Amino acid sequence: MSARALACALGLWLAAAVPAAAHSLVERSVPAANSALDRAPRQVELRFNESVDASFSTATVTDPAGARVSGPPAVSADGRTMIVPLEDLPHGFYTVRWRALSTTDGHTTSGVFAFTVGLGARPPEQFGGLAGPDLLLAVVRWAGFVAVTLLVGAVLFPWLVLEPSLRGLDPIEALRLDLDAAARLRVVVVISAAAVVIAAAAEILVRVLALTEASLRDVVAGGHLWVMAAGTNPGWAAVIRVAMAALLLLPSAPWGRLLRAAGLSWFVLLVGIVMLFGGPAALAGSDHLALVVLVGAVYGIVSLMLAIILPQIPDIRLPELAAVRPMAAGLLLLGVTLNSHAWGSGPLAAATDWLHLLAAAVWIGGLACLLVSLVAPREDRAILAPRLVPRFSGVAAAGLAVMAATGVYAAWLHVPHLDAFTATSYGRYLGVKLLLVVPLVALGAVNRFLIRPRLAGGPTAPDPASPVGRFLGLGGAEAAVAAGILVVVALLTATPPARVSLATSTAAQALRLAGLDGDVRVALDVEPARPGPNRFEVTVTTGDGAPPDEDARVLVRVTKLDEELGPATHIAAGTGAGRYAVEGVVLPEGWWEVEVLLRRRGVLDASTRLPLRLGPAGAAPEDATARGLLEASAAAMAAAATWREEDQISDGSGGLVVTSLELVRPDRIRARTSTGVEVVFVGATRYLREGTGPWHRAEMSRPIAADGALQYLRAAARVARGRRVPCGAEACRVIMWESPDGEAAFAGWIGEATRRLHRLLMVAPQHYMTGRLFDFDTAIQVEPPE
Amino acid sequence: MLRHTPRAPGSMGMLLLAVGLMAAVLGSVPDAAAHAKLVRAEPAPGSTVKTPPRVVRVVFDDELDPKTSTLAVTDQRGRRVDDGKGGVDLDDLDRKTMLARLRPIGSGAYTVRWKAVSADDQYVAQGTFRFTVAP
Repeated sequence: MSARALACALGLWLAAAVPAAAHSLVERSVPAANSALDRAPRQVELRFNESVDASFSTATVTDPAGARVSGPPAVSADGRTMIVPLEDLPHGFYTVRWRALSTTDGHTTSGVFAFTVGLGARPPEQFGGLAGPDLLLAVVRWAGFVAVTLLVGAVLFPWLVLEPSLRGLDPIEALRLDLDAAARLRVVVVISAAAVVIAAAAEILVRVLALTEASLRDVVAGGHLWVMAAGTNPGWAAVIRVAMAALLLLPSAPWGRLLRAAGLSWFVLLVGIVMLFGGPAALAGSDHLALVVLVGAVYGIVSLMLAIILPQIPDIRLPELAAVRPMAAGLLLLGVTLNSHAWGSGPLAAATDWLHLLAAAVWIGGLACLLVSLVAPREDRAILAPRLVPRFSGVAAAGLAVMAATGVYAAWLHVPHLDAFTATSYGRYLGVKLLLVVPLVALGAVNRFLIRPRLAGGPTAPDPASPVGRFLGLGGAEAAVAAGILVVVALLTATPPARVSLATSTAAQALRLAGLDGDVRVALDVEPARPGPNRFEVTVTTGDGAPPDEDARVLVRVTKLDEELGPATHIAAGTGAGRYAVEGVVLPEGWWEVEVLLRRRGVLDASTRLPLRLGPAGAAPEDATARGLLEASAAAMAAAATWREEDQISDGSGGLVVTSLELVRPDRIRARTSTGVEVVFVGATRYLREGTGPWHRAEMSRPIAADGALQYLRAAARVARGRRVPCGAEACRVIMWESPDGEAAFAGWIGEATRRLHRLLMVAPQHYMTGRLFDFDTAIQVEPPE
Repeated sequence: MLRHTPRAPGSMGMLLLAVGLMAAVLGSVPDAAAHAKLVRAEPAPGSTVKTPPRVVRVVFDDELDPKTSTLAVTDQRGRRVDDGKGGVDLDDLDRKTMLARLRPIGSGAYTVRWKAVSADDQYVAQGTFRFTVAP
C-alpha cells in the first residue's frame, strides 16, 4: 500500500507539467537585433517562428526621443513575416517593439530590440529581449483556471463520488442526503460558472487592451473585441468556455435539461462546422461565418421554444439526459486546451493536455466539492464522511496517476533537457510547480493513510467528529496549495515553453555563412556562434543544385588564428538531402577559420574557408611586430604590378556574392561577379555590362585606385599577431587588425618572405569575406572592351 | 508574488567552466604537431617479392594533402619506374593512402621515396624504403 503511495508521489513529482508548445517569437530580423548600421534602413523585417495574426500583431519603431518613426506594419500572407516601413532615419539609436498573437495557439508575446544607424557603435548587448508574462493576464487566467477546475469538479463530483458512495443506504435517507449535498454543490456550480464567464470575458478584454494599446472606449467602439472573440483561437476558446458555463448554469428542471442538451448539440455541431472550414482563424471574416451564425441562431430559437413548450405537455416523459452535464464539462476543458501551448503541438499533445486538466478538475475540484459536501449537520456528516472520503480517495488517486502520466509527457514535450529548467523562465516556473506539488501530495497522503483509516473505523471510533474536523482542516490546506499551483500554471501558460525560447534564442544568434569552390556551394550554419559549444550544419549543393552523392564526405576543420590551437578536423554526419552536422564543437573566443571540405572519390576536395570571430572584440593588445609586418605588407603590395583576387562575401544569412578581380596597378581593374556583372576600370573610365549585354561607359570624377584588398591594410587599428601557417610556397604569419571605427575585423595571411598578402578574412556586420590573392606580377592585361 | 532571481554563476563555476572548455578544446585536437607516420606498405619495406608489383601502396596514420604529398619509385640506377603521378589515392576518403603505378619492371632492388604532408597543418614528413623483386 505504501509502495503504491510512493510510486504515486514520485510520478507526481516528475509530472505536473502544464500543457504548453507554440509561441510566436521573432526568429530573425533585418536589421538584426543589436546591430550597428551605416545607412538607414527603409524598413524593419521581422521573421516569426510561426504565423501570427495580422489584425492583432504589430510593431513600432521609435527614435531616441520616443517618437514613432514607423508606419503601419504589414503581415505576409503566410503570417510569418512582418514588414514595418520606416521614415528617413537620421543617425541615432532606434528601438523596435513588437507584439504578436499566435494563430497557432492564441498566445501573445512581445519583445523589444534596438539598432543604431551611423553611430558606429552597437546598442548594449543586454538591451532587448522578450517581455515577461503580462501579470494582469496571468491574474485573469488564474481566476479562470480556478473557476474551471471548480466547475468541472462540481459537475463530475456527484457522478463520480457522491451518488456511488450513497448506494447501500436506506433509499429515502440516501435521497435526502443526495439532495442536501446537491443543493450545496449547486452553489459551487453557480459561483464558479459565473466566475468562468467573467474571467473569460476579462481575458479577452485584457488581451485586446494589451495588443492594441488603445483605451477601453476605443477598443469597444473599434470592434476589436468582436474580431478577437470571433477571429482568433483565444477568442473561440473563451466563447466555448462561456457557452459551456452558461449551459451548466441551467437548472435541473425539465426545461433546463432540454435546453442544455439542445445547446450542447448545437455547440458540437458548430465546432464541427468550424473545424470543417479549417478552424476559427480561417473562418473569420468569410461569408461562411455569417452562415454559421445564421444557422446557429435559427437552431437556438427552435430549441428554446421546444424547451418551453415540451414540459407543458401533460404526462410527457422527458429523458434524464444525465450525460449532458459531464459532456459540457468536457467541452469546457476543451475551451482551455484550445488556448494552451499544447494546441500548437498536434492532436496527441492536445488530448494529453485535456486529460491533464480533467484529472486536475477531478482531484482539486473534487476535493473542494468533498469539503463543501461535508459542511453538513453533525449527524449527517458522521454518515457522509466514512462513505465519501474513501470513495474520493480512490478517484483522487486515479486523477493523480493521470496527471503524473500526462504531465511527464508534456514536460518531455516542452522542456528539451534538464538545463532548460534553470535556463528559461518556463523551466523555472515548472520547477516551482513541481516543488508545490510535493506538499500537495504529502497532505493528500496524510489524509489518505492517517485520517481515512480512522474515518473508516466508523461506529467503533469513539468520536467520529474529531477525525472529520481534522480531515476538513487538512483538505482545506490542500485546496489552498492547489490554488497556489494554479498561480504558477497561469504564469506558465503566459510564458513561452522552454523548447521554443531556447530554440529562438539560438536561432537569433545563428550565423549562416556561405562559400563557393568551383561548382560546389556550401552554406554553414553556426549555432549559437558564441564562445563555447557550437553546432555546425553544412548544406552542400553541387553544380546542378543537387546534393552530393551518398558516399561523399563533409569535413569541418577549425583553426584558431590568434593562437596555436588546432587545427581540428571533424567529420560531419549526413542528415540527408545534402545536409551534414557536427555537434558540440567547443570553440573558445577569438578568431577562427572554418574550412568546409567536400570529399568525393577520385577528385580533389572542394574547399571553402569561412571567417568566424567569437566573443567580444578588441581583446588582443596592439603588437608592434605585427604592426611592422602589416606596414611592410602594405608596401610590398603597393610595389606589386599585378595580381588576381577572388573575394567571397556572404551576408550572414546565406546570401553570397563572389567577385573575381584582375588588378593592374595603379588604376586598372577587371571584375566579374557571380551575379553576372562585369566591370572594367581604366583610369577614370568605367565600362559595365550585365551578362553578355552591351557595355555601358561612364566617366568618374577621378581615376580608380587598383588596390583590391590592399585598401584594408592601410587603415588598421589594434593590430595583433597570430599563428604561423603554411600558405603555398612560403610560410605565412596571420595578422589580425580592425578598421579604425571598430566595425570590421580582419585576419590576413602575410608571407614571411615576400610580405605579400595571400589570404584575407573579414567579419563586419552583415559582411563575412574570404579573399584569396594570387598570380602576383604575372602578365595580366586590362584593356577597355571593344 | 512568485519571483525568481536567477543565480549568477560563481567565480568557482566560471573557473570550472573555463577549465572544462579548455579540456574539451584540447581533447578535440588530437596532436597539435601531428605528422604522418608510415603504417604499412605493399610491397612491405625490406621485403622480397616473387612477382613484380604493378602498384606500390603506402598507408599512413594521418590525413594527407593530395596537392603536395608525393610517392616515387626508382630502380638501382636512380631511374623512375612509376608513371610520375604517384601520390594520395583519391579513392580513399580518409586520404591516408598513397599510390604509385609502376611500369613493367624486372628483378632487382627498388627504392620507394615518400613525402607525406599532413592535411591539417601541412607538416612535411619524408622517408624511403626498399623492396626487392626476386630473379
